[in-house]
Amino acid sequence: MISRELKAASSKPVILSILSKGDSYGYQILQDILELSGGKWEWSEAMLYPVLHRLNSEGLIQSRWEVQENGRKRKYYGLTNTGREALVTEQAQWMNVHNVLIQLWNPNSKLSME
Amino acid sequence: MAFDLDTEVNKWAKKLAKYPSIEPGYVEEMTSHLLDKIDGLKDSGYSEEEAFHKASELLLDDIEEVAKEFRSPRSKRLRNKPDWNENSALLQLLPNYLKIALRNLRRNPAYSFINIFGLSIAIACCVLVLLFILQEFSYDKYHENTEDVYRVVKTRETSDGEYYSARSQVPLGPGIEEAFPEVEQSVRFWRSFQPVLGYENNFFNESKLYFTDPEVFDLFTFEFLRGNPASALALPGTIVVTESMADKYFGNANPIGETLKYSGYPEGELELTVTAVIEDLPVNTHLDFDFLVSMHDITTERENWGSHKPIWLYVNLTPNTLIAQLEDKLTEFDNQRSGNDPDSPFKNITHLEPISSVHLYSEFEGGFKPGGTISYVYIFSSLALFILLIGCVNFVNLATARGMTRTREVGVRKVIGAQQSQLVNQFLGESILLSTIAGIIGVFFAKVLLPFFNELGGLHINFGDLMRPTAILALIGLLATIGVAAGAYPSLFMARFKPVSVLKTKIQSGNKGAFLRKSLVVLQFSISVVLIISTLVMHKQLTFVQQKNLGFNKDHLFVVPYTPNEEEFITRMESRSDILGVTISKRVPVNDINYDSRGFRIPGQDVIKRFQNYPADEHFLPTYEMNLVAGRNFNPDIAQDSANFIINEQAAIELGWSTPSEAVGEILSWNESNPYGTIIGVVEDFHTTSLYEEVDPLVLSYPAGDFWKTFITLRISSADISTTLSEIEEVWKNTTPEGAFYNFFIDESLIQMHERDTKLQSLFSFLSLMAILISSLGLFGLTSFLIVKMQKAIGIHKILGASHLQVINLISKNFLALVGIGFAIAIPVAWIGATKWLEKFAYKINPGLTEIGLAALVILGSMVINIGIQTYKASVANPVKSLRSE
Repeated sequence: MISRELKAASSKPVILSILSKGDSYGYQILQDILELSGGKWEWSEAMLYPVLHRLNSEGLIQSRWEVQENGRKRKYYGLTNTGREALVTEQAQWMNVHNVLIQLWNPNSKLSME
Repeated sequence: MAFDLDTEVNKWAKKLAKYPSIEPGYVEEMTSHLLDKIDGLKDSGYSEEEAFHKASELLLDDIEEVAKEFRSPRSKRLRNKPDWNENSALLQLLPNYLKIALRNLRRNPAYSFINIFGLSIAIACCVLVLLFILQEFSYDKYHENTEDVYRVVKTRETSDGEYYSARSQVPLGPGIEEAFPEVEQSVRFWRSFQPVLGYENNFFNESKLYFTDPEVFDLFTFEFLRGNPASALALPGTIVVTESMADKYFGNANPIGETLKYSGYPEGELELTVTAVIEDLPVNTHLDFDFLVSMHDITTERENWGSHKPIWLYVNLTPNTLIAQLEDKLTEFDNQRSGNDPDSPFKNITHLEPISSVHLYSEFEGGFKPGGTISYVYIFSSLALFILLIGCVNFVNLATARGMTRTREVGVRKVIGAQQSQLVNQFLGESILLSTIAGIIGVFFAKVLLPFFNELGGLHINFGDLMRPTAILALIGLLATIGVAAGAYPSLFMARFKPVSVLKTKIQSGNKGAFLRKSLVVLQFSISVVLIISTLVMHKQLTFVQQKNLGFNKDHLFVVPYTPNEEEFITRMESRSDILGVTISKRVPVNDINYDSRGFRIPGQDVIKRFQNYPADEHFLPTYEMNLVAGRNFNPDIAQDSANFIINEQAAIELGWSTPSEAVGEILSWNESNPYGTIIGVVEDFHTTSLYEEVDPLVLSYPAGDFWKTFITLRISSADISTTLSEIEEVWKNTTPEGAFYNFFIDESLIQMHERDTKLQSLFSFLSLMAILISSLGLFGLTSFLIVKMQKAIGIHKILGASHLQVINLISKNFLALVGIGFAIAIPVAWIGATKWLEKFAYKINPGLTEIGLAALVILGSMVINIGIQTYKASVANPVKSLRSE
């Protein structure tokens, strides 16, 4: 299980990353996350939609309604250019965090408490 | 019902839409999400219904959460609680509500005045009645032992019916105290007959002096100013006086240890030492005395079980005594001691009355002072309720009517997002605000009106009683009830306006709520009519009582006490030109003092008749201007006349003579083996007691000796009465140095006899007047509103050639029908009420068409004036103006 704080913090890069693979909608995004995390990330709707709306209002993503063949409407989200730039920044930041942690957790780490 | 996914999903979406942070677009998105989720679940093998429930459960569980999260990115002010959880919407809106409410009050000063003023008057009346009721119910509850103290009273059956009496024999109290362990203590109050008290050389005729047992201070709670309750009456020859009597006899000096000279019945002459001074009795007790004398030295009739004296007996019972059982035992005990025939068909029954119910519920004759009656409490409570109802009806009518002018406000509020419940709250709040303002003014009015109310009703209500917790609670409850009762309908009515129609200035159909309004107006009319008719009937009856031919001329008859220097006093009186007649008698008419009834029979017949015994001298008939219908008056020169009788017509009838002249010359005998006498005359019936009772058969006698002489009645001329009175008093005091002077007018004592009813009538009239005032105020408000609404119609009528009269007719027509219905309802109700009230009078008026006619006149008159003026104004207005304005 992933903690709530971590989920919240990672929501922005995760969503941006998923959308960088192509436009998607709420339900699908949740499904993707569930699959990628091997069932360990249980994002609730309550977490997802507000973030989507925030990213939308920040101009990182944009939404559009699409009518399905069965007549049902679905709201799709896609990255904007700003969104793509933001994703690059996010990637850099998260890789940085990742590297620090990897080094720290390496038993041969040069860092010691001496 | 089969499961329909679309319906269920719609329902679900509606639930979601309730949260203000979730916009319609979001709802749509979430719905689409739900459907995706359902599809997903269906793929994993769930049925459609199961899938829906599972998906919506998952989502709905979260809705609150979702809504909260949605809110955070949108809301500028981040607070701990989302808006919909805050409950403070009312608090935030309150200043606005208040502003709008006050603005509305100011914008429609006439309506506001009618509403607030009418309601204030209604509340003032209610407060006054509330105080009255609180006082009536507080009687004798303040004694420490009040729950265990009972009054012993008796019912006695005779061939004439049942008698209720609070009197008892001298030995009854100590007797039952000894015989029954349940009776812890007993206290007798023996009313002294015509006591005279003297201190040094000042003598006063007292009326409220009682011989009583020393335990009186254990049973009842009195405030001692001087002296000790435990020892105050423990010794013979002791007396306790009230504060005001201490002032009367001793001024500022300390009365303890001083001696008062007593003379009267029982006991004759006594010297009494003052041992204690108590505060004057409070209003809310049925006890009433100025002096208490120790019963210790009573020697009179100590073992006489046969004679019932004016003794009121009270007992203190052990807690949890079974009253009904004790009553049976007391009945048996009393009958056995009194030697009553156990096989007699007429029963004598002893009852126990809790002292706290004596004032309101007792039917037993005699006692300290006339009690209240629970029916007065009911009558005034219903009157107060009626008045309140009328006030509330005004409120409802005016508020719904005025609501029409506030449609835009409602529309705008709704468009901005006010919910119906918020609007209801707003308008309810306004009406509670109004009722609170009215309440404050009403309490103020009550305070101002209180002295007048007390004076009118002969009451002693204290405004301070309103400050007691029960009264404050009752008042707050009353105001809240008025606010809610009066505001409920108008606020629901207004909150239901549809924003689209009201904002498009579509004219609201005036028929909305019209039925209710009409019914309420009918109700008001009915109540007013009932009150007017009742007032008129009461007034007529009481005037009738005061003007009824009593069988004698009641005017200018002045009564003073008998003086032993009879000859000197009478000679000096008779020599005066302003004294038209002087007579000595044992009783005076229209008065219960010395009431005495005796058995009489015609010799040779077994039948014994009970007649009033009325000893008087030969001047009695001429002085009172009574008419002899047969025979002659007493003559002092005929020695035999001291045994002879004059009877009244009623007695002649009872004795079986068809005409009065047949009775003259017949022999009559006292039942108690006294000498026979001849009936020498028959006098026209005259009233001896109140008009509640029929004229009793009566026998006038003129016994030798002075034992019966009690009153001297003088008929005085009407010129310069006050000089005559003061001179009579001077002469009396000169001839009777050791006597106590008192005086009264016969006609005044007649008025006093019916005082309670007169007072009741004044109070009733006052409250009715208030009710009528409030309802005409309301009617005024309502017509003016309706006329404003009908202005266009009136304009069109006028353009088409209608005259003023036709226009007035057009408008009044509606109201006339309502008045008619109101009358139809009111007349039977008033009739039943009036008949019931009149039942207790033996001589009464027949209420008839006059009263109904007068009531109709009052109602129609006020309505015609009211509608007439306003309609006239509307009809003379230029129709162009009303038609052009939009």
